[in-house]
Amino acid sequence: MEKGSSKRADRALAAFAAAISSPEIRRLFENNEVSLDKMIKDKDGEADAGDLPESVRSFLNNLTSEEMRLLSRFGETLVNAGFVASPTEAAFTIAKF
Amino acid sequence: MGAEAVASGAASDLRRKIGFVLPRLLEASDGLLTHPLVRKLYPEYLFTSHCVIRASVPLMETAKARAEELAPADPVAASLAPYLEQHIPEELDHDEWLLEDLEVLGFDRADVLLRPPSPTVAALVGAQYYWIFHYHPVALLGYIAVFEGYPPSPDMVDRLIASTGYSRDAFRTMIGHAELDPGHRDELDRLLDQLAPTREQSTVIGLSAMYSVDAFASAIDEVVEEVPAVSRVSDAP
Repeated sequence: MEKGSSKRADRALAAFAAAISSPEIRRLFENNEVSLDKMIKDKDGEADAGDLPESVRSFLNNLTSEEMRLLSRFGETLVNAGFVASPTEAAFTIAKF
Repeated sequence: MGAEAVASGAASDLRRKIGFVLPRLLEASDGLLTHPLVRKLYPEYLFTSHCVIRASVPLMETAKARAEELAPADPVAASLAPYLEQHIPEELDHDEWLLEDLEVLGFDRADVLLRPPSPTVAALVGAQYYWIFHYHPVALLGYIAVFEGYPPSPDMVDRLIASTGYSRDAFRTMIGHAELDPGHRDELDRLLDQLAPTREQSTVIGLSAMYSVDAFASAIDEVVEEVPAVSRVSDAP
């Protein structure tokens, strides 16, 4: 599984995960009243959205507020475990249908 | 927010959403697979899997019926119904495989069927019924994407057989899904790209998938947390 490219990307993602815990920020972000860059910078002045892969930035920019609300519940796991940059990467679990 | 269709790439978008939360399920899976008492835990895992999988076909039948109701005025529902109609026979009797796996381990199927499923499993499956009846049956595709998208690998199954010490006959369900599910995942991804869901539909598919990852991981965590009780009460052969 491909992971985020660097510790700087992880830091930017951590700032994003922290930011979306706020309902107000989620609403502003969904309505394009605050940019991804500003949202991340406001949460962590040392973090930079530009450190995230472009595909991840695009993905984050298209999330709805309800999806962000659910994602915010995963905050710590999401940041500690990194993220899957490629949607085609195989991953194996014990889930079955 | 408009109801315009999301351009192609719906499958890729969904896989990325799942990818963001999948570490939660990978962690739970590893917690069970690498547990020193995995031999004790495996029958509990099969029971939990049975509780989930026995709902697969009924969920698809329910979604298909709802999609057929909506189909005359809803192109996404009109495309969903034939997919489900084709897919339902492919999933028939997988709950039976699980009962047979448990019988190989010495468990009586009547006892398995008598035991109440956990609220965690009920919430996992129940959420799908809610979305199907009260929003749109396309939500079920998120659930299917999770449960068919990340099956055990053959190597993972071999390691589990070795670590539990059980006969290979007790792993029919895992072996079957390791073989079948990659093909089913590809079929679903093609459907998602063809459906062109609206932004709202894409959202509910994503919510369904991400919620399912979390709820199923919680169900697996509960299996692992039951170690003391399993060791004391259910002395698997």
